[in-house]
Amino acid sequence: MSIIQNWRLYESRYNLVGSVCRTCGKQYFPKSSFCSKCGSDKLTDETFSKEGTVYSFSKVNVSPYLFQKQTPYVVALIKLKNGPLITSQIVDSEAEKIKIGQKVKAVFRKISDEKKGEIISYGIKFRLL
Amino acid sequence: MYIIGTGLTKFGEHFEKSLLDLALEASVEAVKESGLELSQIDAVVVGNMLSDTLSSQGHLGALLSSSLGLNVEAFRVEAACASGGVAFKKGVDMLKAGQYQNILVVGAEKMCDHKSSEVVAGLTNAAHAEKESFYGLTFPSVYALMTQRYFYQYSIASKELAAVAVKNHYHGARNNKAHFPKEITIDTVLKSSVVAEPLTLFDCSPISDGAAAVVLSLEAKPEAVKVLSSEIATDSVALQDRQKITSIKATKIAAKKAYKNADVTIKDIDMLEVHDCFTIAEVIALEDLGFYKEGQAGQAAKLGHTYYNAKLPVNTSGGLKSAGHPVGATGVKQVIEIVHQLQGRAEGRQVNKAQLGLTHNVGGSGATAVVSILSSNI
Amino acid sequence: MPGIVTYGAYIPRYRVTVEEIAKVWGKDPQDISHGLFVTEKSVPGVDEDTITIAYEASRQALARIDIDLQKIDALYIGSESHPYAVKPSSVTVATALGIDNHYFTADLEFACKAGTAAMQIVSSLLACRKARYGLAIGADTAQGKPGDALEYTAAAGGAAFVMGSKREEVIAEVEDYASFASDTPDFWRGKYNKYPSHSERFTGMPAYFKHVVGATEHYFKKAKCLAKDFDKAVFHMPNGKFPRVAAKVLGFKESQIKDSLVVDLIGNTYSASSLLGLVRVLDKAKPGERILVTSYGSGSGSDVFVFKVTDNIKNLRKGQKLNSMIKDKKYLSYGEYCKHTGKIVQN
Repeated sequence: MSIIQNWRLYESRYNLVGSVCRTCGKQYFPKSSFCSKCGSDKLTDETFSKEGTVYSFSKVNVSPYLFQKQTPYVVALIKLKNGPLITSQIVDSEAEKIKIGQKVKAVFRKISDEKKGEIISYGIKFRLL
Repeated sequence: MYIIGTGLTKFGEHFEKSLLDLALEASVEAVKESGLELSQIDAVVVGNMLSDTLSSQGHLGALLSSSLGLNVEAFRVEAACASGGVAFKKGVDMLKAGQYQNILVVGAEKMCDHKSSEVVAGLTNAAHAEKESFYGLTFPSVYALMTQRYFYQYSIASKELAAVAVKNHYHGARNNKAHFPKEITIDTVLKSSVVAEPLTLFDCSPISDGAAAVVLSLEAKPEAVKVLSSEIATDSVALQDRQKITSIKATKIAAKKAYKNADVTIKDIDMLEVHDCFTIAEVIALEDLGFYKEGQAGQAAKLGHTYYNAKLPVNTSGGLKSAGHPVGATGVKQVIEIVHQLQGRAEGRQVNKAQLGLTHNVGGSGATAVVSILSSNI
Repeated sequence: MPGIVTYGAYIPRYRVTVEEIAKVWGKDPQDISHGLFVTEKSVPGVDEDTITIAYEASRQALARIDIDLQKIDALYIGSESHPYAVKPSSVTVATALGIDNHYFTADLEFACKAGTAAMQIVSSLLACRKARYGLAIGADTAQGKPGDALEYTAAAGGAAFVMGSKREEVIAEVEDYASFASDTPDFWRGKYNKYPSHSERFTGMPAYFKHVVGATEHYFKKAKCLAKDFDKAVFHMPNGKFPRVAAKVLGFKESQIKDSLVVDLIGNTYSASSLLGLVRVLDKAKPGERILVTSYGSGSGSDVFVFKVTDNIKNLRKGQKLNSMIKDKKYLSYGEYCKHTGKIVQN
């Protein structure tokens, strides 16, 4: 993704800011300008909780170019407390200890590997509580 | 609408052939089999996912049609791993519209020219860039997330999935076009390296080169196969935006429409070619297509129910797993397998008295699904 | 006078032992541990850097008070491992914390004393009433050249202090601050170099001791006080030996510095080193205690800060204690350590 494509998402990515539909209440992460559930365009920003539970996870052994330094790493779907289901990683935790339903909290990390001369991507990952 | 000609390259590593070479090989074979002259082809639809990402080649419609010596309408269709299925459906639609008589549908993909890390990155484009790939999700890991959740909700484990791979390799071993025509055991799957937990290398379809082509026509000929219906449905690209991740809503919707428009029920279907990009995908497909209740298809392969000579033959070609998965070619190859079965040409793996077959082609983790129903009764 | 309103720290979870490193280079680990007073050091996760560490330390600090983030008018990060040569760490940290656009900010570098330099700037902005609150952060993912003596100690960690001026909020009042600097080539890293270089034994007397002792004595003279006038003292900790020697020379007893000696447990966290010492002292501090902090940055300079702990410290919400972060650890092999610190060349 381009630097600018990433920059547009800084607020969402750094601080778990998403959108909530004012008409039907559906939550979106990252931010969205249109509600796919009810067709409304009245959505407002909301900062979601930095706690959640593991909905599903997988330890990745074969990774793309930008994640080779981190391999193996654990990708996960996290259900945020009172918030939507989002995609991220679980770090600093032994993969064998991760179970569906476990509580996690957000940490701020580099998302992909740093590449010489490139902008570094930061965002939220999770750690077992 | 009838399928009057098929052409299929061997799936595998074709280091000596280009994407165009493969597409031409399948196209020429299909046209030849149809009995038509090339000049009778009115339009060309190409299904391909990765040519611009990997081979720096866009504009495949004109590239292929001009290489066939044609100046007809031609274009490329992209819907990730469902590109071939969507191309087929578009061909059917164009015939339905009544403007054309004969259409060549070609699915082609060239993957083995490239480093696996490049191919992995290219395939990951089928996932949501901002929501999934950004965080390091790979294609196997997206299906691994579905698998993990499926294991959590239903009582199957890696062994049941391994049985799907064993069954598909058993079929593939009887298909001379398959990429890996070799029988394997449960242990082969369980002991192979882990790609994305809990999926091992043998739970995953391989990276392959290959092309598949069919000629669609408004007019039947002897041995032609009739297209009863072909339907597409879509859903959220990212798993996080789905209602659940243990079934694929797009498949359910497309299947429902396909059964209705073909005026058939699942009881009428004799055999299936489903999208087993990962073993879990075949299990979920059998449920979403209505052959099993949710959470209950896991035992099907293990119990032997889905072998070519059993009650519900699934993936007699070897599926994506053993036959190979040149992504753009897959959806068209599935159609060809059903055609050959209905014509009684599937030597070594021929389904007894097959009259009605279904193909199921999926893009991404289920954001696009194509279901087509084919009949030998013209 | 302004003072500290809340504080937080962050230590990555990973450790590598002196023994593990020594083994690779054919050195005697006991010899090294004896000389350095260090047995293991903290190592960043593969996805951690100064920015993420500065953020986590700041978030620990902010979680302990109720504060309107928009009143944080200043944010300075001291580090010798800012991820970019040009592009501020501070704005990423501020954005992630949710601080709006109106704040004084810059990245600071002065080897290991950039964290206290951040504290000086924030204290000064508060004193002249240009800022209501300010964040002073010291964070580093220090690099030691493989095989070099510094490899045994160069560690990762961060400390963050929210400073303010309201008497009822300040938990540790800044009594005074002072500096001492000179052009001393004891340790440096060239513009395009990955690892720093140093002048070996020259880093001792003419560098560390001259500045740490010089700055502290300068302050003693100015304030007409002596070591005995302080309850606790913190000195920059490049290893376990130097702060102990400096303390002794200045007349401090072991009991005055023992709380501060995080170096024994996690190594030298560079710009965070003396600040983490301060955090560990504050974790146990009682109202009325006076704390002296003298940092040291190669090149060279020392900053002195004198704090007086107030009654408000009893009301500060309990955060995660530094000791519990130090105890939560996972040991790495030398190979994994190299992977974590980018020492493995992949292309």
